[in-house]
Formats: sequence, C-alpha cells, structure tokens
Amino acid sequence: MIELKGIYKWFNTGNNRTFILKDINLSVKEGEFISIMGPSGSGKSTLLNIIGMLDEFNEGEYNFFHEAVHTLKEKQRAAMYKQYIGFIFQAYHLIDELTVYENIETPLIYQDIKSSERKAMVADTLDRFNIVGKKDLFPSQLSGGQQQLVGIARALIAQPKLLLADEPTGNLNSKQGEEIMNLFSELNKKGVAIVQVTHSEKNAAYGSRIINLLDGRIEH
Amino acid sequence: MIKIYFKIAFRNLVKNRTYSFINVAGLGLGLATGFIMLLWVTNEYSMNRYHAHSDRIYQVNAKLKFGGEETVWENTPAPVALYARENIKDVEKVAMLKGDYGARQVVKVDTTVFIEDKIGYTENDLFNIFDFPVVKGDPNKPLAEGLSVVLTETTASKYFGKADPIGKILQFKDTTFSVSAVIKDFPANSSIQMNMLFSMDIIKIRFRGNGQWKTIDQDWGNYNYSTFCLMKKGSGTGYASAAILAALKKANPDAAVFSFLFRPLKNLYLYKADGSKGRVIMVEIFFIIAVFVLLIACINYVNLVTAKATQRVKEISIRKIIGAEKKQLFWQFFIEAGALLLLAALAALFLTELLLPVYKQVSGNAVSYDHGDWQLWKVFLSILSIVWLLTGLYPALLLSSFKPLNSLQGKGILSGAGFLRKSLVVLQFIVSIVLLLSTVFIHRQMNYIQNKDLHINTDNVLVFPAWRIYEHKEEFKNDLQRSAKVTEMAVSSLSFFEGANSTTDLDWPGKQKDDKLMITQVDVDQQFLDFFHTSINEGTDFSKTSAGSPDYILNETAVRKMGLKDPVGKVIKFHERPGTVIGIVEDFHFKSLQTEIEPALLEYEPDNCSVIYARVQQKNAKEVITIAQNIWRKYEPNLPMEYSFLDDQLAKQYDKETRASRLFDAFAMITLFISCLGLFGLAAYSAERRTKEIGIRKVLGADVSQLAALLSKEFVFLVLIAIVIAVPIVWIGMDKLLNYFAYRISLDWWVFVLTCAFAVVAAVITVSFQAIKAAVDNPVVSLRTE
Repeated sequence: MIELKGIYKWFNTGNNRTFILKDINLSVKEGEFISIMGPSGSGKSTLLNIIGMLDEFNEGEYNFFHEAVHTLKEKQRAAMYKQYIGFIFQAYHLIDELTVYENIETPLIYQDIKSSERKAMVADTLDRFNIVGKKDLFPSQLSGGQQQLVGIARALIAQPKLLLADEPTGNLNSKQGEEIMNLFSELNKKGVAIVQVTHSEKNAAYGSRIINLLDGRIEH
Repeated sequence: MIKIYFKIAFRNLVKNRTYSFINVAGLGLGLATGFIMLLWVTNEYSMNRYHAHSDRIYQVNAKLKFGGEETVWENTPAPVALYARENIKDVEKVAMLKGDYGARQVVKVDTTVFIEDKIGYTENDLFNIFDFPVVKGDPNKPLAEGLSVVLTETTASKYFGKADPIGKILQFKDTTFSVSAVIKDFPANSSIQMNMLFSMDIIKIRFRGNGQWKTIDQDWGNYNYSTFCLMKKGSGTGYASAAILAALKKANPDAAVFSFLFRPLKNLYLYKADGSKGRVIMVEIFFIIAVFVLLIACINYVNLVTAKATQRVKEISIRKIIGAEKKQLFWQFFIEAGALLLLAALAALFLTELLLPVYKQVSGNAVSYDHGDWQLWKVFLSILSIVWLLTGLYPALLLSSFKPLNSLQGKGILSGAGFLRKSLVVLQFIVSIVLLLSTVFIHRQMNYIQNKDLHINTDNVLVFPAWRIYEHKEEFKNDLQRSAKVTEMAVSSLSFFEGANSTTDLDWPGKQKDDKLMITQVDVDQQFLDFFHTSINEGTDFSKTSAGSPDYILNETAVRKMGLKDPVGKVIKFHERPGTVIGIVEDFHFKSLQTEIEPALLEYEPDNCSVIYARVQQKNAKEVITIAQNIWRKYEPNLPMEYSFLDDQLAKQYDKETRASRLFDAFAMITLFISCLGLFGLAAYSAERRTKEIGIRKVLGADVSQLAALLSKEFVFLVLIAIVIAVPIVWIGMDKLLNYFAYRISLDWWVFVLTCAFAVVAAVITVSFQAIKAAVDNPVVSLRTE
C-alpha cells in the first residue's frame, strides 16, 4: 500500500542544513496497524504528514497504491488523498462554527456526494459512534473524549483505507484514551490500515508493528 | 452545496456581530449613495436619447462673429428650415419650433382663464422626427389645417376634464383655435418641454415684415427659430451646413454668421452649443465620485476580511485536510461575501428610500425612482455584481490558497495582505481628503462670490416685472408710491442677473472698420443710478437730461473696450442715433458673478422700462406687497402680479452651485465616515492581535495614553501618507475648476492645514477608541487569554 524509499527532509539555515528525516525506508501493507514512537523533535509528526501528503519531502520516493506520489500533480494528489486517507489530530481540530452533524458531514460535501446519500451516511456514523444525541451540539459543548470521537467519526465517514492519527489520545484521560484505542483495534480488524504517532508504550502496543524514530532515522 | 455555503456564511455573520455590522453599515451606505448617484447619472445620460432616430436628429445652430469674438446661437432664421426641406437631399425631414415668451400667455376656455407657460409653435414634421406619440388625432398630421392646436394629455384634461378634447375650442391672444390632436406629455428626459403647440403658420400669417424682409420665409436676419433636422441614413451634415450658409450669404451678404453647426440631439443637453463640455462635467464628476464611494465601501470589506483571516486559518486548514479543494473553499468565501452583500443590499434599499427625498431636496435633481422600472433594477443589480466581484474575489483567492500545514502550525501567513491592506486604507483616505478639501474650497468660493461687492445696493429691493400691465406701468408705479408710502423707486429695462438686450450697433470716434463691440443696452429713469447707489466717476448723471434725448452714460468696461480717451463730451452713435456721452458710471454687476462685467450703455428712456424697483423697510415689506397686489388687480384682473426680492434673485443665480456644494458636503462626509468605519474595524483587530503585547507593556508600567499612542501610530501614519498624496491632487484640480469662475478665491495654505488636521483628528478619535479600550483592560485578564 505504502512504499517509502530513502526519504530525506531538511531545511537550510544559513550554511547549515538541518535534517528532519534521514533515509527513511518504510512499507505499510493494507490492514496493518503501525505505531510510530520517538522523543519530541525526532520527526514523527513530519513523517506522518508526509505519509498523509500534507507535507513534502526533499529526496526519495513515495509510492501509494503503486502511484508515485512525488510525481503527482497537486490536483491528483488531492483526489487520491480524499479517497483513501482520514486524519485524526491530538487537538481534535473540529470546525468550531459547525455542529457535530455538520462536522461529520463536511468531508462528504467535498467529495460531491448527494444530499440524500450524505444524510444516510452521517446517520449511520452517528449511530455507530453512539453520538446521535449530540448531533446538534457545537464542539465547544463537548468533552475532549467526545470531541475526539467526532474527529474519528469525521475521519472515517468517507471510508478511508488508511487512518493517520497524530497522538490521538494526547489530550485525553486514560479511560477515554483506552476507549479510543479499543475503537482503533476494532477498525483495524475490519481492514482499515492505521498509522499512529504516540508517546505511550501502552497505546503503541495496540499496533502490530512499532517503529522507533530518533533524530530523523528509523532505529532498528 | 450552495445552501450549505449560505448557512455557514450567515452563522459567521451572526457570530462576528460587530464586524458584520461595520461591514453591512459601511457597504449599505456606500451602495445607497452610489446607487442614487448612478441613478441620477443614467437619468442625465438618457436625456433625448429615447427617440428612435435620435442618432440622426440634429439641431441647427448658427456660429456668429462679432469683432473678434465668436458666439453660438441655438436658433436660426426661419428660411433655414424651408431651404433645407426643399434643396438639401441629405435632409429627410425638418421642423421648426418656437416658444412663445410673450407677456400674456393666457388661454381662455369658455369663460375660464388659464395662465399657461410652455406654449410653442411648430410644424407637423416635429412629430415625425421625434417620438412624441399622438394619442388622439391624425398621428402624421396632428396639427390640422387652419387654426388648430395640439395639447398634451395633462393640459387637455386640465381644460376639458374627461370630455373628448378633439374639436373643442379655446382662445389664445384673441384668436380661436380648435383642438386637433392630443399627444402624450413630454417625458422628463426630453429637452423639449411644451404644454401646447400651435401651428407655425400662425406666426407666418402674423409676420408683418420688418424693413428689408417681406415674409417670414425671406427673413434671413432674425434668429428666432429652433430648427431640427432628421438626416437621411448614412448622410453627413457637412454638405447641408455649407449649403445653408451659402443660401444665407446670398440673401444677406452682411450677416455675421460664418458657419452653421449641426448639433447632435444626444449632446443637446449635456454639451454646450460650441461643443465644449457643459453639464456633462457635473455628470462625470458625479460618476467618478459614485465609483469612489463604492470603491471605499468595498475596501472596508476586503480589509476587514483579510484582517480577520488569521482567525479563520484554523478552519480553512481543517477543511483542506478533510478534503476541501481550493475551488470549493473559494466558493465558500465568495458566497460568504455575497451573503453579506445581500444584507448590505437590503440596508441600501432601505437607506435609498430614506435618502432619496432628502437628496432630491438638497440637489434639486429629479431622480425618477419607480419600483416597477426595470432600468432602475438594472442599475442596482449591476452595481451589486461589480461590488460582489470587488469584495469577494481577492479575499476568496487569498483564503483558499493557504497551505494547510503551515497555518495549523501557526507559521507566517498573510504577510502580503498586510501591505495591501495598508495601501487600501491610504487610498480610502486619499479619496476622503480630496473630497473634503474640495468641498471646503467650493464653499469658500461660493461664499466669496455671494458676498462680493456688486457695486450696487440690493438691500430690501422689491422687483415688480410689469410687462403684463405695460400700458399702465406708470400708473402702477405712481399708485404704489402714493398708497404704500414707498419713497425710493426706480424703473429700468434691466432685469438684474438675467439676460439683457445687447447689440453691436454702436459707433464711436476712433472705431476701426473691423471693430465690433457687443454692448448691453440699459434703459433707466432718472432715479435709477441713485436708487442703486452707483457712483458716477466722471461727468454727470441723467438729472439734467430730458426723457428720450440722446444722452448716454457708459460703464468703465465699455470705455475701456471702446478705447475712448476723455470720453465725456464725445459724440457716439447708438442704433444710428448720435448722442453725447455725459458720464461714466463705475462698473456694477448686472449679470451673475460667473461672468465678468460686460460693456453697458445707459440711456434715459423711461418708456422702455418695464421692471419696477422699490426699496422698502424690511418690516413692512409684506404690507407693500399686499397693496401692490390690490393696485395690480385694477389694471390686470386675470394675470397674477409677479414680484421678488432682488437679494433672492441674486441667491437664485448661485442655486445650482449652492446645491452642488451641499451635495459635495454630503459625499465628503459619507466617504470619510465609511473610511473611518473601516479604520475602526482594523483598529479593533489590531488591538485584539496585540492584546498580549499591551498586557506586558502595562505590567511594565506603560500608561493608557502611551498605549493609545502606540496603537494609533501606525494608522495615523497611513492617513499622513494619504494627505501627502491628496494635497497636490486638490491643488491642481481645484485651481483648474476655479478658473471656470470669473471671480475666484486663491488656494490658501492654511485651509489645507486645517482640513487635513480635521481628517487626522477623525482618524485618531476612531483609532484611539479601540486603543484606549484595549489599554484600560486589566493586564492580568489580557495576558491570561493568550
């Protein structure tokens, strides 16, 4: 599904070149659950963003379903991304101006799905995540755990093949965190590939494979 | 999809109430002002253009040369039309029109008397050249043979009520006419405005000949008729013009006319006869101001949206991450601008209803505002769509092109927008300051000419035009003097500030063969010069002259232009009549101050004097008028007495300018207000953005005034830049404009300083309000918000 070959990312400060990622080689198969670990500043989030096509790299190859991402045009990349990838953030990043219902619905709007179909899909998702009663509330009226639930629901509504999560439980208490992780396992069993960035050994253990990053390199 | 965009848009509007209000108010006021002005502009441009053949209709004007000076007369001799009709193939149709400006415009229907103006004489082809639809009667020949008259619908119903007017009888100047047709009222956007039209034949029959001319068709010397030609398709006017001139020169070799000008109907209203810009200058200025007012309102929106963009970066980024394409985001923000514009449009329509009557009153411009008029909505909708593009395009492009990751991580965004925003604020204030300065100078100019010494005393002078009781004017004057105990009275042929009789028929010692001087003839009585407190520079007044004898008094300008040395005692010939110059009167203004004082010749000829002047006490002016009316009725029971105060007549001369200057006041204040509204919004965001900085500074010991200065500084700097650019623009533009006046003010530097200071103060007050608000907040609270 994903093939990263010799990925480098850096930026230049004066005459010095600071490397964020160095020679990353990584492959993710369909249905895998990978946890990326490492200290702050080791390049975890950058790697996740590169996989999620939100960030660019300076050198190397990235194949996504046998398409060379680095050669795609912005539009094709966006189309691919829309179809296959869902994103979850530590800070939830819900749109404050929209209700729970509308937040979940928005990705479908951007995929030009018809209104009646959208309704059915959102209703389904609300049901599945047990948040039907909250659908008309705004994000500020929810607890952190509930907000993250909405965030996950939003990421999953378009049925992505790959779920990318950047410290999804970082702002939650341990009980809420555990619920989210159980949800991830469940999703993974249904065939969704997951790549998560985490600081917690416990959460990392939910994954089928752990990748340790240090100073932009994968530790073996 | 669009529904969702609208929902989001309205939710955002409600959420940011202050910001939305500033935008809606500013944009609404701008739209309403621009709308009203553009309505007026389209009205003006539509003048005379609605006729089907308007592209081929011309008014024939005559260019004449007197001495070195060229003038254009809008009328031609009568044979021009006849000649064109019979001899010029390029001319398809031609018609004459002559207004009746006599003293007794009284129409009798049975025994009822109507006082009527806008009476004219014309030919049937007028109705074939122009689109003046005939409602009843023969559409091709509304003026039937014999003594017939055509009435407009309003006039017909005034005279005959609901009865069919065709064949009805009315009397005008002791002649009986029958109504042969009814036409629609002349629309407001026609330069030709008549209530009733008689046949030109009446004038032909009544023509008694004058000297060399036996019939009207031979009279190539009197320029009394407005002549309209409809040219054939594809025909130029060059040949026709030359042919008419040749015909005239053949009949009247000494004529001063040297060219016939075919003036396009479309330009009749907006341009002067000589082709130079007339009213169109005003229309263009209004158009430019309207565009600027709209532009300033648009700038507010763009500035506030881009200033606020930082707050929306998060939303935009998330939308991108969950799959929004640039195009979709673009539409979201474009529609958001549209939603706000929709609210502003409603506000604008409401304001228009409110402002239109005020505008009409202030400007004196009739703006037709009929809700069912498609033209009106066309103007409004085109304004809206242009404004939508201006306000929506840039913010939508800017906001939809964020890189999502950068903005979520709070990296530098919108640095370019900051510079643009500042430039736009500068532009707003340039426009505001230019208008503000202009309006101040226009006011000073108006004050200057209204208070300029006319060299005549116009205080408490009542004017009675007495043409209507011409035979009894002497008795009227004497009666009035006796019954109302008015001590100071005078009569003259001159109506001040209006046209006066001028002639070139003047001969003086030393006059060269080619010298021709246009001189105004002023007939007076013996009291006139004393009455108006004029001063005789040399020689004497008329006190020793007997009525009708050829003693002349010249004004200084006449002496100068004639080049007379030691004028008193010289013999000059006026209308072939030799007489002595007995005195020189100091120049006094008898026309409006837009023109320089012209040469004038005064003679003691009370018989020609039909304007009666009486100086009254302010407190018993009303009483004098009542007495005068009673006396008047003795001599003329049907027609009302006309009267006015000379000072009012003088003020009326500047009516147009006074109204224009009041409108300029309004525009200047509106633009300044909208600009300050925008500044208010920007300052609010600046204060919000710098909350933390303000908190820290306060903790470190800064006081409120220091903080206010800190926040105001950047905005005041922008206003100062605007001043530096605006001042030269006004300096050059105003200098040009003021040169249109014969008597003008100079551009004093201190006026610039005071006016600009006013703009700065307005800006400082606007900004400091926000700055002080931010500065007095508790620093602990503001620091905690970060």
